[in-house]
This record gives sequence, C-alpha cells and structure tokens, in this order.
Amino acid sequence: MTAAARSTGALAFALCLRRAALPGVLATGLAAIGALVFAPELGDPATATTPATATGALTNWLLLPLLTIAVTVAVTVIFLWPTFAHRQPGADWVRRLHRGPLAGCGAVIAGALAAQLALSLPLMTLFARGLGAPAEAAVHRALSPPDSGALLSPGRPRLAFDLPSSSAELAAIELRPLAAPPGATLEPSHVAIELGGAPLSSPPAVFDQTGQFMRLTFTPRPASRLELVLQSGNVPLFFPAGAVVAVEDAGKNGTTNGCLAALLWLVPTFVALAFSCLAGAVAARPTVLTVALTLLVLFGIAGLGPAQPVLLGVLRGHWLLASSAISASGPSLLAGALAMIGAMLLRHRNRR
Amino acid sequence: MTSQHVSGLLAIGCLIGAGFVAPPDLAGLRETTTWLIRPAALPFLWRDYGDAERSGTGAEAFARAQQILHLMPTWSDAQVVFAFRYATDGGAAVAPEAAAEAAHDRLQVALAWLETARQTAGHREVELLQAMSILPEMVARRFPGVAERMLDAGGTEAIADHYLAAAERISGSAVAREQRTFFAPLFGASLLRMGDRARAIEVLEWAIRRSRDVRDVESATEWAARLTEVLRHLRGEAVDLGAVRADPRMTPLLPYLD
Repeated sequence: MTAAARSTGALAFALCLRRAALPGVLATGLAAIGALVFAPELGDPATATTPATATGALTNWLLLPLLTIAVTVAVTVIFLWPTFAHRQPGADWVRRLHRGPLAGCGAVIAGALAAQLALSLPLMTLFARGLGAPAEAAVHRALSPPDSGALLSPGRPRLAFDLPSSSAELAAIELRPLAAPPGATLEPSHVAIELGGAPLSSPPAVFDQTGQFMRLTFTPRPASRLELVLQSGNVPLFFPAGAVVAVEDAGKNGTTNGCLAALLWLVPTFVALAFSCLAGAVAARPTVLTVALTLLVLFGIAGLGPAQPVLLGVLRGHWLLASSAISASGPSLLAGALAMIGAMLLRHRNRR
Repeated sequence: MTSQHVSGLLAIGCLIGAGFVAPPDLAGLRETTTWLIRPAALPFLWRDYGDAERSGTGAEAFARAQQILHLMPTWSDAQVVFAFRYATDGGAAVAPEAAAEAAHDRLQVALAWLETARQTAGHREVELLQAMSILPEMVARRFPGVAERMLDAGGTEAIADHYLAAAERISGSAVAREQRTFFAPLFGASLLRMGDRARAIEVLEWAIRRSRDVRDVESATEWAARLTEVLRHLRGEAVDLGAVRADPRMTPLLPYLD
C-alpha cells in the first residue's frame, strides 16, 4: 500500500468515525429504550419456575444502530471522495495523486470499513450482551439425513445420522421434523435418541405436528453416531437436512463471537460501497447514493446476505464459524469483489 | 418584523390554540403512528416470525408474534391463536413433572398476554374471554400435572368460570358458556391457516365435549355430529361433508376442508 493510499484510508477512517459516532450512539440509545419498552412478555424470570428467553427476537434492536452506522459510513465516503462519483469537482487532482485503477476509492472503502468495525464491535459484544445474548456461544451442527431416506415411521422405526468428526462432546440434540398425516387416529410419535448405541436417559420427544421443535438436553458425551428410534405413535416424521441439530458442549467465548459478528457485518457495507464504486464510474452522486442505500436496505432490512443470520447467531448464542452466516457471506463477498473488479476495468477504460 | 415572521408567529399561535381547543389524544397519536408504521414494518415482522417458527424456539416465535400484535392490537383472533400456540408448545423433552411446571408457566404468560389484549379488543372482548376460558382446560388436558398446579387458583373450571362471568357481564347475556362451543370453527380455522392441524383437532375435540353445554339437546347433538364429521375429515378419514358445507356456522372451516 502506498503512502498516499495509507493517508487516504486514515482520512476516511477518521472522518467516518467522527460522522458515524453520534448517530450510532443516538440509535443505540433509541434501540435500548425500544428494547425495554417493547420487551417480549414471557413472564417474570424471577418468579417463573422455568423462565423463558427469546433473545433471538431482539434482532431489530441490534439492527437499528448497526444499520445507522453502516448508512452514515457509506454516505460519508460517497460525499468525501471526489472520484467515488462521476464528474465531481476535484476529481482530476485526486486522479493525479492516486495513479491506481480505483483512484483512491479502494483505500477510502478500507478506511470506512475499519471505522464501521471500530463502532460496531462494542455493539456486537457489549450491547448484544445487554440485550440478553449468552456469555458463551455453542456450536450447532446441522446433520444431513442418511442416503437411504429421512423418514421415521412405524414401518421404519430407526433412523441413523453420522456425526461430524469432532473431539467436542455433545450436550443437546434439537429436532424439528416435518410430520405427515397418520393413516389412522392420530397418536403422537414418541422419539427416543441413541448416541453411539446407548439410549439417552432423557424422556422421548413427542411429535404430533409439522415443524414442532424439541430439544433434548443430556449429560455431555462424545459420539460419532446418532440414532432416532420411534418408540410409539403413528405420525410419520420426515427429517430433511437441518431438521436434526447436534449442539456441542464446549462453549465458545461470546465476546469472540461478537467480534466475528462485527467482522461479518462489514460484508453488506463492502458490497454496497463496491457497487457504488462501480456505478460511480459512469453515474453522478445521486445515483451512487441510491445504489448504496438500496443495497444496505436490502441487506439490513430485507434479509439478503449474511446480516440477518449474523444477528440471530449472536443473540441466540450460536457459534458463527459453524453457522449459516459464513456460507451466506460467500456469495455476497464474491459479488462485492466482482463489482470492485468491474469498477477497476470501467474506470481504466474511462481514463483512456 | 417581516411578514414571514408574522405568519410564522400566527401559525405557532394557531397550533397552541388548537392544542387547547382539542387537546391531543395520546391513544389517537399512537394509532396514527402504528397506522403509518404498519405497511412498512409488517412484511418484515412476518418474515421474522416465520424464521422464528422455522429455526427458533416457541418463546421466540411468541415474542415475534407480540411484535406483530403491537402493530395490530385489535386482531383478537391472532391474539388467541398465538397465545394458544405458545401455551401448548412443549419445546423440550423433559420429565413429566418439569413439563407440567413449564406448561403452567406458559399458561400464566398466555393468559396475562390475553388479559392485556382485552383493552384493545373492542366488541371482540367477549370472544377473547371465551377463548381465555378454554385455554386452561386445553393445556391441562395436553400436559398431565397442570390441572393440579391450578388448584391454588380454584382449578380449571373455576378459572373458566371467572372469564365466562366477565364475558356474561360485558355482553349482558347469560349464554357465554353455551356459546363457547360455537367459537371452535373460527378458532380451528385460524389454527389451520397457520398449518397447525394437530391443535385444530384438539380444539374440535374440545368443542365436541363442550357441546353438552348447549341447553337444547337436539341442537347440541346436531352440532356435535357436524364437528365430528370435520374432525374425522381432518384425521384423514373419508367423510361426506355435505351437511358441514350446508351449515353456515362452519363457513370459517370450509377453505381448509378440500
């Protein structure tokens, strides 16, 4: 990286940090009030014998400050750098200083992303904890059904799943099967679990409804094979990929999970700025702003890409490196990288 | 002072005057705000509810449902269905004792939620109270041990009586208990709309048992027969639904009987 690029990145970092800090703090305050006023009414944890928690339902309050910061950072960058949009005053001077294919836009984007990371780290760690995110994150591994089929029925009362090779012990199994109508009068299906051939001491899970969720918690133990055994009942149960989830015992640090989340939350801003940079090769500032804001809304609110899975993962306490958030980031990152390459080619052609 | 300043001051004076003549109504302000937010927020809230149903717990789904209901507080059918689904959601395979304890806790939460929904139910408050009277009995039937835990409050019958008395007081009619069974098609249809066939079956079974509350024996027998036909159809049996389709009281269920 050249000295000019370094100073450009630092300039963008400092300006984005300054511009986005206050809106971020205000949005966090608003979100904290909203989370308190509209807290889920699930009973008083102090009096309930089995207190219920629903931190996964609080993603909107974490999203509000994160999206405010992302939008402020993107807008700041687009207004800051003359070469970001077509035919801006001072763009020619900047091009003479930055001889690279993006004329400093790459360094500016890097500075903006660093500023967003600095501002979103406390949100993903401290604020998320304040909303109720668990202090420890657990690895949730979705199991694939056997090749022979995924149906558990009176005609086929056993279904075996191979567990991924991992040294960690299992602490719980989560089941969410699809149910088919029974052939006769409905008798709920009782499903027991055997780990490595040994049955669990916990009572069987009872299913009479499609999409019904059951969690079986047990004393942690190592296992390489999991078997579902239909003990009684006549509701046929279908276990497609993801319907059986093995929860590992080894707790991961919640703060590290929050840091990972802050990193993954850079993806939407990167993609928005990359496509803005591409549009800016031929379009003026209003168009560039529209592109950036539309993409941020699509990622943040409409649920495109990794933004939503990341927030859910942090608040539910799912270890993000083993979650769908990683796979959801891949296509977005690829799209962003292609947009950057496109911007380079387009700007190079314009210069000639 | 320019004319612009004068018109500005006049406008502020008019605003203050309007505030005195017709003081702002906070409930109206809230209604206007939710009316403005609703179209923008509801699609995403429904998506979040769907996500919670697919990958979250029962408590998370109920919390998401509450976010929807904050924007649509007068939708009493949904209030009942979401509360009922939460109260009857198992969620964890545990010993019967712990399952009963958890179900009792969930029932208290669901009833408390419906109690707050009464304030905004308007003319549907009687139906809401009838639904609240059903809930304890159904939860107790699904989770053995819950009925014993409700004895401190007088038992399921006493709790149902409390809500039915309130319904009768509001409606000014003494037929709330008798009418409860006729609430089943609407309740069952709301559950079927959410793809919840097993719970809809439970509601119909309850309604068949409760048809005995209808004083006219002939009507009660005919009503129980119609409900039984629907029940058998939902269980996958071949049934002639001609009489059901001809009965206007069954209209809410008809879209789900094809």
